[in-house]
Amino acid sequence: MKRDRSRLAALLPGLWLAIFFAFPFLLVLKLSLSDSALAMPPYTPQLDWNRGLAGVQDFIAGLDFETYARLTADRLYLDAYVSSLRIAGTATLILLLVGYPIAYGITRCPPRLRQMLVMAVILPFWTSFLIRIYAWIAILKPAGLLNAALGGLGLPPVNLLNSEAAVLLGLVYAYLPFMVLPLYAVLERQDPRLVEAARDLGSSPIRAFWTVTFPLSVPGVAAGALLCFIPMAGEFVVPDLLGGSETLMLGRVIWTEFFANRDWPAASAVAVALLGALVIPILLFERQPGKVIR
Amino acid sequence: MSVPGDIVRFEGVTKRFGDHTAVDGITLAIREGEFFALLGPSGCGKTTLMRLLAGFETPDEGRILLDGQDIAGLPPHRRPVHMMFQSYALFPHLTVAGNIAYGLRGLPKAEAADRVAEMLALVKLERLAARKPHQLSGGQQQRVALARALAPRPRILLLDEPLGALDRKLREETQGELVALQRRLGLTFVVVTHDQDEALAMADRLAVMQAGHVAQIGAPREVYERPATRAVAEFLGEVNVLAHPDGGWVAVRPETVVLGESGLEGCVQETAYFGDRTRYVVATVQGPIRASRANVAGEAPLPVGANVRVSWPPDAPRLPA
Repeated sequence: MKRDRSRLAALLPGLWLAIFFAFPFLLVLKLSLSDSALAMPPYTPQLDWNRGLAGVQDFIAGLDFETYARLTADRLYLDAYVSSLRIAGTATLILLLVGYPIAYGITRCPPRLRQMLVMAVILPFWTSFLIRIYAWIAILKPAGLLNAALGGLGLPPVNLLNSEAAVLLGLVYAYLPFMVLPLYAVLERQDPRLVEAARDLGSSPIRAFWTVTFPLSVPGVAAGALLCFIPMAGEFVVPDLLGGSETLMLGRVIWTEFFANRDWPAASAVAVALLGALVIPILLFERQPGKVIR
Repeated sequence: MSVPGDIVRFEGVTKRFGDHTAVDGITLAIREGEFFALLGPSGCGKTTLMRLLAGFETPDEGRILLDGQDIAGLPPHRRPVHMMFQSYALFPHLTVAGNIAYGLRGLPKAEAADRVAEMLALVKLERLAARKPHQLSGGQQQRVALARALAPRPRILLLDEPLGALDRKLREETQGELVALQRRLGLTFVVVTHDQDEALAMADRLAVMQAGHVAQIGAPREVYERPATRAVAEFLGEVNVLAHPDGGWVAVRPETVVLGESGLEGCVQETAYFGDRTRYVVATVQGPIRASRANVAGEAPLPVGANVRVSWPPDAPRLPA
C-alpha cells in the first residue's frame, strides 16, 4: 500500500521529465544524427509513416554520426567547448567567493532581517533578465555610467564591454541568487552549537569555520556550483550582449548553426555533446562513495 | 580574595540581554574537585551562568576567577574549561575518533592518538571509533560527547543537561556512571539541570537558582531538608507548607508526615500506589496534607475514606514569611 503510493508520487516528476526533457532530448538527438539538407525542414532523413516498417528502416539507415565527426574535425567547436567550460568555471569560482560570504552573512543576522535580506537577493528577478543585462551595456559601454564615474574620480576610462571580463561580470551578476540560496539553505540549517563546541574545544573563530562550518556546507556548495555552472556553460544571452564577437561560447555557436547557417544537425550535435560533457562527470561524481556528505 | 580550595569564583556577576537581567549580581564559589550542580527552572539564569564560565557570554558586571585569574574577557578557546553540550553537538562529518581528537590539535600526533584511545576506553566505545555520530544510539552519542570534552584534560568539565536527551532507565544508569567517573578523575564537574532528582543524586553541592539569583547553596541534604525559602522548598520535590503554632510557616516533606494515632484529625482523600510506597492526600482543618509512606509487605495501604491522625516532626524547618 505504502509502496504503491510512493510509486504514484514518483509518477508526476517522471511524467514531467518524460514530456519536457526526455522527449525533446530524443528529438534533438535524432536531429544530431541526421544530415543537413537544402530543404524544408533542412535535414534528412525524414520519417515517412505511410511506408510503414520499410519507412522506419530507411529512416534508421539514414542516421549516422557524420555530424559528430565534423565537430571533432573543426577546431572551432573544441575551442568553443573549452572556452565555455573555462568561462563557466571561472564564473562559478567567483560566484562562490562572492556568494558564500553573502549567504554566511545573512545567517548571522537576526531572523527578521534575515528574511528581508533573502528577499533582497531574489528581488532582481522581479525585473526581466534581458533588461538587466541590457542595463549592463549602458553601464559598461565606453561612454557609459562606469566611465562617467571613473572620470568623475579623475581615473582613466576602461573599455570593458565586448570582453570576457564583461561576460564574467554579467554571469556573476545574473546567477548570484542561484549560488546564494542553496548556500543559505545549508548554512541556516546548521546547528550554531557546533561552532560553539569547536570554539569550546580550543578552535579560533577561523579554525572553527574551516573545520566545522565549511565542511558541513559542502552539499550547498556543490548544489550552488552545479546550479550555476551548468546553465552558464550553455548561456547565450550574456555572452551575446556583453561578450561581442571576441567571446566564443557554445550558446552562441548553437545559435549561429541554427539561425545563420541553417545547419540544424550541427547545432543539435553541439547541444548533445555539451549535455554529455556536463552530465557524465556529474554522474561519476555522484557515484563516488563518500564524496557527498550524508 | 581567592580562598584555597576554590577553583572558580563568580564575584558580583551580572549579565543582561536587552532589558532582561539573566544573571543578577551573583557571587558564588565552586570548590576544586567537587561535583557542583546549578539547579533551577528554565529561565532562572543557570544556563547563562554556565555560558559565562565557558566564555560564550561576557559579563556586564563583576569578575569570574578561575584559579584566581580573571577570565571574564577570555574567549572560549583560550579557557581550560570544556563543555558537554545539551544534545551533544557532535560534529556530524567526523567519526567518533575524529570528534574526540578535535580538541587535541596542540598535541603531537602520536600523543593525540594515545589520548583518543584512552578516552575511547574510558567511555567503552573502542569498537565504534570509526562510526559517524548518526550511526550511534543516544546513549553512545552522550558518551562520545563526554569523551570529546574530557580529551583535552580540562580544569573544569561543564555538563549542560547531560541526561536530558536520554530515556529514564538509561538516565539512572548514566547518573551513576557520571558520578563514578568524576570521583575517579578527581575533576571538577559543573552540571546544569532543571531536574531536582538528578541534582540531588549526583551533586556534592548544589545552587538553587531563581530569577537570576542564587536562592540557596549547599549539600543536597541541607538544601532539601532545610530549604531557605518557600520557593526552594517547592522546587525541590513535594512539600506541605503548614502553619506553625508560634506563627509563620514550616516546610514539611510528605515522607516525614506520620499517619497514625496522634495529631491532627484527617480523612484520606486520595491514594496513589507506587509499588515501593504509597502517596496520600489527607483532608484536615489545615487543608489537604500530602504524605508518602513506605509499603510494608503483606500490609494493605490505607483506603480512601479512612480516618487517620496526621503529625509531623517538631523540628520541621521554619520558612521566612
